[in-house]
Amino acid sequence: MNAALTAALEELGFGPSGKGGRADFESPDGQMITEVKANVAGARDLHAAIMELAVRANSGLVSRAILLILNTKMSNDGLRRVWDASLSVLRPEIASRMHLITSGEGPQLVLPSTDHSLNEMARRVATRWVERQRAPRPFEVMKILLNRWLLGRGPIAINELQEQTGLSYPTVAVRLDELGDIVERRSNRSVLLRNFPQKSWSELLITASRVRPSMAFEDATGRPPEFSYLLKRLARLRPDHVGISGVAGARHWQPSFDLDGMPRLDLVVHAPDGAADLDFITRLDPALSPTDKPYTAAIVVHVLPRPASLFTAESDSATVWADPVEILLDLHELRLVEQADAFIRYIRASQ
Amino acid sequence: MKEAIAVDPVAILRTLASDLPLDLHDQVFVIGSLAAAGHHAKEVGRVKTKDADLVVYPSGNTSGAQQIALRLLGLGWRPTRTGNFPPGNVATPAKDLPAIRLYPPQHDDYFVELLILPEGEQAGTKDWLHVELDDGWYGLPSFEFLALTECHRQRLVGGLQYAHPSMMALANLLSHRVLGDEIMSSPVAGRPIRRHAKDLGRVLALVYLEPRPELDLWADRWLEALKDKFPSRWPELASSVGEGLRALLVAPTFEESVHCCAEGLLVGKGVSEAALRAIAKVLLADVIASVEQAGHRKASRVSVI
Repeated sequence: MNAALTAALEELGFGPSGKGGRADFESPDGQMITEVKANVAGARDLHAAIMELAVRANSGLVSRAILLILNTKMSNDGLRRVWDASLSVLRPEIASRMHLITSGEGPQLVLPSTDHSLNEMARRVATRWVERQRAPRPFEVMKILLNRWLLGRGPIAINELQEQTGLSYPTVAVRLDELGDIVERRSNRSVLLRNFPQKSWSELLITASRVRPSMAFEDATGRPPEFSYLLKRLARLRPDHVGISGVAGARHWQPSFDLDGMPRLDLVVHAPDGAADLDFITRLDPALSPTDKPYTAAIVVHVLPRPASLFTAESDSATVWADPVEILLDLHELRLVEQADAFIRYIRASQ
Repeated sequence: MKEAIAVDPVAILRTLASDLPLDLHDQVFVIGSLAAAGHHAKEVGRVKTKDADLVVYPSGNTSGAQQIALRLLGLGWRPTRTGNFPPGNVATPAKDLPAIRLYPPQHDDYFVELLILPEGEQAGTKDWLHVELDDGWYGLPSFEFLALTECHRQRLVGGLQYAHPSMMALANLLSHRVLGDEIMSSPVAGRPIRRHAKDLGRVLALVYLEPRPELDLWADRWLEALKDKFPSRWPELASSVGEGLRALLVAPTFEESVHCCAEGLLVGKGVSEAALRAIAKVLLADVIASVEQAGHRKASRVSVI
C-alpha cells in the first residue's frame, strides 16, 4: 500500500485493518471502513468491488463504507452509472452507508457529491498521493525543449536535460530520436529544437488528459468566483510550488492576450516526487470543493511531476508563473486555440 | 397571519429617512433584515419585511427613546400593539409590556420598533426597560450584544444610519453560542422556527452576500468592536464566537436555517444546503479562526499572570 495514501487516511482517523480485518482501513470504533482498489479496468471490476464492500458494510457496526478507487481508466460518467446501478439492488439501509471516491489522473469523483466530510477525505487523498505515471513521462523532453525554443534560450546539454526531466540517459536518447529531424544536435552534446514540434505537440494534446494529472475545484457556495481576489490570496499565501497558468498566466506573458474575462483559474503544482501538495487549496479558499467538471470549475490544478518546474517569479513579487508550455496546454484544454497560436507568435517575437 | 409582501428595501429606507424628523437621524440607526437588505440592495432585491428596527443610542438612553416615541406620536405616528399586550403600568413586569411599534402618519409601508442599547458589559439576558408614554407603559427591548451594532455604522444617501452587516453577524453569533430551544413567536413562511436557527441562518446569509475582499475585514472589525464594548469580557467572547455555528452545522435545526435564508435575504437565489455549509466553512476559516485565536492568546496571557 502506498505510504502517502496510508498517511492521508491515518490523518482522517483510519488505521490499517491488518490481517482478517473487514476492509483495508477502518476507524478505531469500527464504524467507518475504507476499501482501496487500484486499476479498476471496467464495469465488471467496479461492480465486484462495490458488492464486496456492501457485504462488509452489512455489519450493524458499520455506518459508513468508502470505496476508494485509484487510477481507473473508466470515465466518471461510466463510474457513476455502475455505482447507481449497483446501489439500486442493495437494501436501502446498506446503500445509504456506501460512498465512493476516485483518485488518479482524471478529475476526482465523489459520491454522494454533497457529503462534506467525504469531499474533505477526497481532497486529502489527492493531496498526498498522485500515482507516478506508468510511462516514463513521454513528453517531458519535448516540453523542456519547447520551453527553450519559445523563450529563445538556445541549446541545452543532454545531462542537464536529464536533470530537468528526471529521466535516464537512454530514455532521453529515445525521446530525442522520436522527435526526429526537428532536433538539432550540437557537437558539445547539447540539443535544441529547430522549429515548433507540431507532430509531437499534437500527440500531447490528444493524450493530455491522461499524461497530465489534474484536479478541478468548484466554489461550493455556488457564487461566481472572484479571480482577482483569488490571485491576491494566492500571492499572500506564497506557495512557491504553485505556478499560475492558463489565461491568467498567458496575460502575464502576453499583456495583449485577446480574451474578455477568465473562464477559470489554472494552477500548476510542482510535484517532483509525484505527490502533489494541495494543502494550499483550503487556505486559498475554504469553499473550494473537488468536482468532476473541469470546464465549469473555478480552479483546475495540474500536477507537474518532474524535477524542474521552469516557473518564473519576479524578484519584487510574491507571484509565481508557470512556464509558457504549461500555459499553452491549458489554453488548448480551454479550446482557446486561436489565442494559443497568437501566444506562441507573441512569445517568439518578444525574444 | 397574512403573508408579507416583498418590498424594495432601499425605497423603504429612503421613505423612513424622509418620514423621520431630520434631527433624529443622528440618534437612531436601523438594524435587522432591512439594514442588511439595504446594504446589499443590488444583490438582494425585494424583501418581505415591514419591520424597521430602530436602535436608540447611546447606551441606556431610555429618556431619549421616550422623547423620540412621544415626539413621533405627537407628529401623528400610529401605535400598533405587539401580541395582545395592552399598555402596562409602572409595576407591570417587563415581560408583559408591549413594545413600541409605530406606523408613519400617512401610510403602512413599514413600522418602526424602538430598541435600546444596553449599558455595561454584564452577561445575561436584559430585561426590557420601562418607558411611559401618554397611554401607559411600554417596554424597550435590549439584548446582551446589541451594543456591537453601534460600531462601524453605515450611512445611507439621505442620512439615515444602519448597522453594518458584520456587526449584526457578530451579535447573532455571540447570542447563540449555545443552541437554545426557543421557538419564534411568528413562523417563517408557515413553519415554526427556532430563534437560533433564524439568527445563525441570518449570519450565513450576510456572509453569502458579502464580497470576499470585504469579508477579509470582518475579523479586525469584530476584535475592535469587542474590545470597545466588552473591554473585560472580550477574550472570552472572542474565543467562543464560533461555538454556536459549529453546533448548528451538526444539528437537525440547520435545515431551519436553510429555510430562513431561502425565505429571507437569499430568496430566489436557489442557495442550497451544501452551499450554506460551504459559506459556514469560509466564515469559520477566514474570520472566526483568527478572532478565536486572538481571544485564546489574550486569555492565556491573563491566566499566566
